[in-house]
Amino acid sequence: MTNARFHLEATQAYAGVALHRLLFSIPSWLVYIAVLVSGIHFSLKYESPELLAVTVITVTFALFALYFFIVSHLWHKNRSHLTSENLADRLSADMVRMLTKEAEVTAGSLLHAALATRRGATFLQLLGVERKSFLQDFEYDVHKEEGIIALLERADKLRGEEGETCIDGNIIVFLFLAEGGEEATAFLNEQDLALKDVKHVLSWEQFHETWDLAVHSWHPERLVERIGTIGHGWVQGYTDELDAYCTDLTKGLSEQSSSEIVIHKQEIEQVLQVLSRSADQNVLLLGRSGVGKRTLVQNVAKAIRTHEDKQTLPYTRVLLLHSELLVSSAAQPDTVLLQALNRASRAGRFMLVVDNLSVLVQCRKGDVLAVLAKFLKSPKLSLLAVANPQDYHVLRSKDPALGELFETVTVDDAARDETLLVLMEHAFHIWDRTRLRLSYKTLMAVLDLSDRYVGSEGFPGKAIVVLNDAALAAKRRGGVIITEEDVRTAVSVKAHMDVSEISEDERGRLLKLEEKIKTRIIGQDDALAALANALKRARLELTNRARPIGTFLFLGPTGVGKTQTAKELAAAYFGDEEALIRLDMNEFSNADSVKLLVGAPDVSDELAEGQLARRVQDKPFSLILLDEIEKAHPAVINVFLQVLDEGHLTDSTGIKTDFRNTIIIATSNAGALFIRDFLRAHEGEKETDFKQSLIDSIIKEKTFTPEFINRFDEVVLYRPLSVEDAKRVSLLMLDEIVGDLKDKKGIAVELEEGVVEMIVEQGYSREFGAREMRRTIVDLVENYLADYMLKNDVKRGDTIRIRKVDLGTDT
Amino acid sequence: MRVLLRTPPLLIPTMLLAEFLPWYFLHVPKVIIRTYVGYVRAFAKIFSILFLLRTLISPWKSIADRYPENMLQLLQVFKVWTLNCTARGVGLVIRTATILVALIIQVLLLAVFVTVLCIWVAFPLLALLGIEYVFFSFQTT
Repeated sequence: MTNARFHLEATQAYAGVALHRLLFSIPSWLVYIAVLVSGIHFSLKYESPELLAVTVITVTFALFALYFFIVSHLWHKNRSHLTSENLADRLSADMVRMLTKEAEVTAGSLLHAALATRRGATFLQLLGVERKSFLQDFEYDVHKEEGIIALLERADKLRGEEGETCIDGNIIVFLFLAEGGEEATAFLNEQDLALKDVKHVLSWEQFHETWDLAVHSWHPERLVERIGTIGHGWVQGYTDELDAYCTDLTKGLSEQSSSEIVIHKQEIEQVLQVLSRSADQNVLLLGRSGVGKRTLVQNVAKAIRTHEDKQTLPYTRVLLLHSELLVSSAAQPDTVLLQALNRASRAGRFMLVVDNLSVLVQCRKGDVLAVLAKFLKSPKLSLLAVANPQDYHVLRSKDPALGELFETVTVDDAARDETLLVLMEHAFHIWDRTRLRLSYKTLMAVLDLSDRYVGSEGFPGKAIVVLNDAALAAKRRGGVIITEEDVRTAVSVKAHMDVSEISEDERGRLLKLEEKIKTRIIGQDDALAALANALKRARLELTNRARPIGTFLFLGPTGVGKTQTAKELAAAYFGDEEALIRLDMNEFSNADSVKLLVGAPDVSDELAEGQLARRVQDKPFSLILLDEIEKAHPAVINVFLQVLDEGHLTDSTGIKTDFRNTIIIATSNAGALFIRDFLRAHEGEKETDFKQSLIDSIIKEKTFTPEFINRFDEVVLYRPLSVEDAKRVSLLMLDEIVGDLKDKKGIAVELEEGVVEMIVEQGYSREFGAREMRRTIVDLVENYLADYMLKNDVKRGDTIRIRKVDLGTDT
Repeated sequence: MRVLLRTPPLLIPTMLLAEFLPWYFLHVPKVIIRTYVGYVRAFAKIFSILFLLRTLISPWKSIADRYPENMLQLLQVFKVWTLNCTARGVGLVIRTATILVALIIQVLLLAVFVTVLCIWVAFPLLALLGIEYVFFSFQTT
């Protein structure tokens, strides 16, 4: 801007401040009281009440008019500018008011004033920073000689870009954070915020402003919404029978809290298009729980009502049928529904919303679907059925004609950006309801954690549920702010998994993960270190979010602890050995076995539902062990490529299963001979060379493709057990047997010196590893103990001594 | 007071002349008229006069029976005719009454609007007359 200048006093807002202080300061009120007292005095003296009345009315009206003039004109955000060059004239009245309290106008005082404005304070609060701590932490040099003109010119440019009418506190604070140099960067780093986040907060604050300034209840538009319209319903008949099982969604439609954020606009259009047909106006909304199907129905109802209002048409009633109530309370639901729909179709146009179609279709007390089908052709009735994909595919397998009755509209999860907007709006509802505040970081925690850990429902529903639960958690602890910890508490409850911030205790456990597994898995230190490191990265959320927590290919000969590692890991990481889903890939060796994983495309097939998908849906936090993966058919391996790469599996019916909370371990004996030969030939060679040679050999043998191997986070190599390892394994196994006998029968077992060495000597096999050792221990020790206990009267508290000679005799 | 001292001496009087008078006599009356029009439209929408007129003689709550196929069943025809006429009659009465209420509300709105507008525009003059009346009263006493 050329000739730009800054004259705070030459602005209407400043004149407003001056006039306001002149008229409404304490001395001014003393003058008004003096006038009033004089009026009373003279009216009493001259017995003239008119004098008092005229004085009071004139002064009151004049003050009211002048106050109204200041607020609605001089301080109005859309006020006209006295000159285009004066940048001070672009400031909001609130900013001007705060600046008049500053001794001089500098960059620092501008920031101070901005923080004191309503919008500046709201911006900071949404950012999650207290004003006091902001001024302490944001080490901006307030005495810095920064040209106020240049600063305001940048602010004015930003104002234009943001579509604001004047420069308010939010713009100034944002500008300081965005262009505040090193101080701003340091502050944002300390707050763990990126500039993109601050931009989101600015948009959220602007959204808050429009929400805050929403029309008052006495506004004409609001009046129509509250009262509704009289007369439209008088052409509709009574539908008593149907009303008994339905809720009228159009009743008080306008009173329902109107949402600024509308998602699934395309789907709404699709539904309205189908409903505007002259026949076959029936829609099936297909989407998983939480994607906003009910809200979509309400938005459709609102759109229909708006259209009818504009065209002065009779209203369409939108009735939500409570299927469960109908099926459970009516002896013959089909007869009841038939009568109700018969009468309702004579009463006028209506739309029946069946919230849970599967309940009606699966009803065994008569053929309810046939009754609905009868009315589907009626122009007076539109049916809007709602179902989730799983139920729908089961229903279709039983009644393939179902798909032809409706026009299917698929409702997908809302995108993350859309969900963030919905959450921003929902935060205002929470504030209205509970007076609890929350910051942007909390909002992002809701979004990220619900995305990561709540897989069973869709966006935005699951995020809203988590936010509501977090609000309850905050309220329970008596807080006024919903914190990230409240969100983690809510998600932990919902996901049945502890997702709280890593505590010192858990940090210790994570760090000790490797040590813990090492106590049970012998001789595989390098493999376990690689595994533990990958999992630590995952727990700290450093890994790619759109993949499973960790994916590993365990390679090595049999009996070296590959499967055992998976079991130990399930227990150590998920806290439960039951969290292991084990698939023996021997059973997936032909092309047809793909059906076992992803289901069959033919819905009438008994394998319609994929086994793996179902098990992961039931247990999203689990370790999937693909034992002997080399035996799986290539088609099966292709299925896993998608899971390893994208973190989800789309089954034959199109249902997506989330694998992001699983650890996938594939084990293989492929290259076992190579390992044995290589290690014999290259004792002491570097592992990296060894590993690469092994992978090359496996690829050469075409056991796995390079794409498959590259999909894993780590290829973990298990070495054959050494004699020393075998001794430690045998001790572990013997400890297990001895401990078991002591716990269950109270009998102690002592081993003579040299027994262990003898077992190791007989049980050690480089080829079969611990498996051979287990067999030897069963043969020697367990058989001996069984014989001994049968031959002798062993009582609780006795001790059995095993000597070398005893075992030697047996063998 | 510091604010006032810093303010150029002629700014507030200039502002009053340049801004206050057009605001008082032009801007605010416009706002009053706009508000009135808003309420007129709102009540017109609430009472849906157009829709009420369009459906003036429609049967009340769609209560209507079908005539028998054999129109020689005179008693039955008469019964249906009576019921349908009654339903339409009830509809007519209620809708007419509603339209009347809507019209009364519109008249009341107009009266309130005219009063507010007149008081606002004429208040400076009324205030001057009042003050003159008071001084006149003083002089006579």
